[in-house]
Amino acid sequence: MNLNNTSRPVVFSFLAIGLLALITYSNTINTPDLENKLQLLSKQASQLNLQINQSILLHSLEINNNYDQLTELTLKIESIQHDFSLLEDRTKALKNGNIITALNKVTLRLNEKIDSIETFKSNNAIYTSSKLFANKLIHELKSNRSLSPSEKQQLSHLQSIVSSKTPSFTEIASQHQQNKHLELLTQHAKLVILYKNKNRALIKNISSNQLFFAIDYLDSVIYQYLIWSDKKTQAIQNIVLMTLFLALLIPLYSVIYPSKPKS
Amino acid sequence: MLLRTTVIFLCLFSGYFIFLQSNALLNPPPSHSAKQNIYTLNNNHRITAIPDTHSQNEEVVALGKLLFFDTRLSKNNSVSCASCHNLHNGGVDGLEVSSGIFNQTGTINSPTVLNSSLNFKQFWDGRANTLEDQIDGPINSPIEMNSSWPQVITKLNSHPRYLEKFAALYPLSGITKNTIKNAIASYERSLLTPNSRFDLFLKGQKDAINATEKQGYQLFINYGCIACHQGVNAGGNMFSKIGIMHDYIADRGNPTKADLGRYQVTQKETDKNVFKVPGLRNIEITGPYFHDGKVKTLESAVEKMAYYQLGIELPDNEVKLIVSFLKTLTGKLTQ
Repeated sequence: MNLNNTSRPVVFSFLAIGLLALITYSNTINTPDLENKLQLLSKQASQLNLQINQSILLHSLEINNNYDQLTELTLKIESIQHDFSLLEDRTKALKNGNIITALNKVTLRLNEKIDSIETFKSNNAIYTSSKLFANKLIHELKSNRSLSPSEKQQLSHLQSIVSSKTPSFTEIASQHQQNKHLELLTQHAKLVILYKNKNRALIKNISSNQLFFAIDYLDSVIYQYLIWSDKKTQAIQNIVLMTLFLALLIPLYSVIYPSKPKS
Repeated sequence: MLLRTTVIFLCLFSGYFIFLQSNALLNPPPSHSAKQNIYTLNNNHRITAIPDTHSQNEEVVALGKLLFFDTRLSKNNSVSCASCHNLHNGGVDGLEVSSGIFNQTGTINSPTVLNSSLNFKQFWDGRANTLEDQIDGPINSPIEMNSSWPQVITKLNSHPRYLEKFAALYPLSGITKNTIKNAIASYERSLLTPNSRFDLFLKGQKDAINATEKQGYQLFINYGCIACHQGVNAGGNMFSKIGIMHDYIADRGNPTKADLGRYQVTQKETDKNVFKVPGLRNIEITGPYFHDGKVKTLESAVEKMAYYQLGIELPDNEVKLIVSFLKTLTGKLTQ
């Protein structure tokens, strides 16, 4: 095709505008959707994490008496974990090692948290049940006047263990009890100690900052990726614009300062 | 000519940059502001009352009801959901284990469909997270309905009534696996039984339960039963091992795969003999009891629970008192 000095810049300009439009369009279609979804999920997970920790705290203080609220929160965080898993393939397609690692870490921590919550609920139920029953036994034994002085002493000791905030196994004497009720009370006092201690470890685990840090890391790597991809797009746009201006300027220069025809 | 072209290009560039800027303004990055806390901490009752109404779309519920009672869901048109979940019988079939297609027997007791939406997971081992997920189980099970989704969809597509209803309620999808599941699950979510005498008591009607029943409730608390059977469904929101103090499975004998419970889902040793704690709503009419359906009466269920979970033999009078309380949990279907 034979292009003269006037039509060349027009053709170049159209090509450049087309290219710019294409870059912008592909940028709008491909990039922000996945990252925004990941960021939104990580924020929801972060908020639920805090609410779960709050609920666990209330259970540990024996303020919350049923698991409906904690269960609802756990189901929501399970649903977020499911949504993260649905985005796994698309995240891999980003070919960004940091995001993939961060997402894996979040999924792992979410799994750990959900498992720990379910274990906490089961353990706490045994603890609560044994404590309630132990208190019933204590009440009945106290009203039993046929207890020997040593049995009374043991009863008082077991009562202090059951109501203690930091019960220890070493406090329970391993001697065989003659009184069946006292024997049963000893067994339940042991359960109270065992599950109280298990719960303490679980609460520490559930409320630890590991999930918070994992979510925070995911958030920051996505943010970095967004900045990087934005800069990349801008750089490409600038290069195209520069090329376009050069393509326009050169013919303009030749029009404004036409070279004299050689004689 | 050249000047005009240049002006046009400059205008186009200006327009393009304005477009870029407006695009950035119209699609800002996600906000970092905290989501409002939608949960309240008003959670101090161990058992709470069932809501008086359900929030399901009545037309979808009606379609779900049709499907729930339709035997076309099974391969040979002999079994429907209602075959094992009889609404006139507490949402159960009253059998130790259910009978499926060609009279094949199942491996585990059918849980009630009443208030099933209040359970945090479905099945005794909690392998389904939602009612929709649960539906896959019986449809595909060779001993229950022995069907498949393509078969079910083909059968329903040949029925003008279903075609019409699905077209009206799901105009974009029609009859699909997901729309069938949605309709059945919506119906199941509507099967709430509020206003039991105990619910009325919780709502402040102090004479809704009598003195004997109140005594039973007090024992239910004092023996620690309420530690697991709490929440709106008096259970159904956690897992627990059957046999804390004694080994229920060993004492019963003939252990089965179903006895493994949650272990079948997680493969964790600690989950052996662990099951979803069943809700006690309508327990009076949902026997036989336990995952194996081996316990025929409510009195026996209370005795066994006390023995295996607490390690005690309850006196008869206390068993009767607790049973009298449990009977106050029988509610009325919302439909």
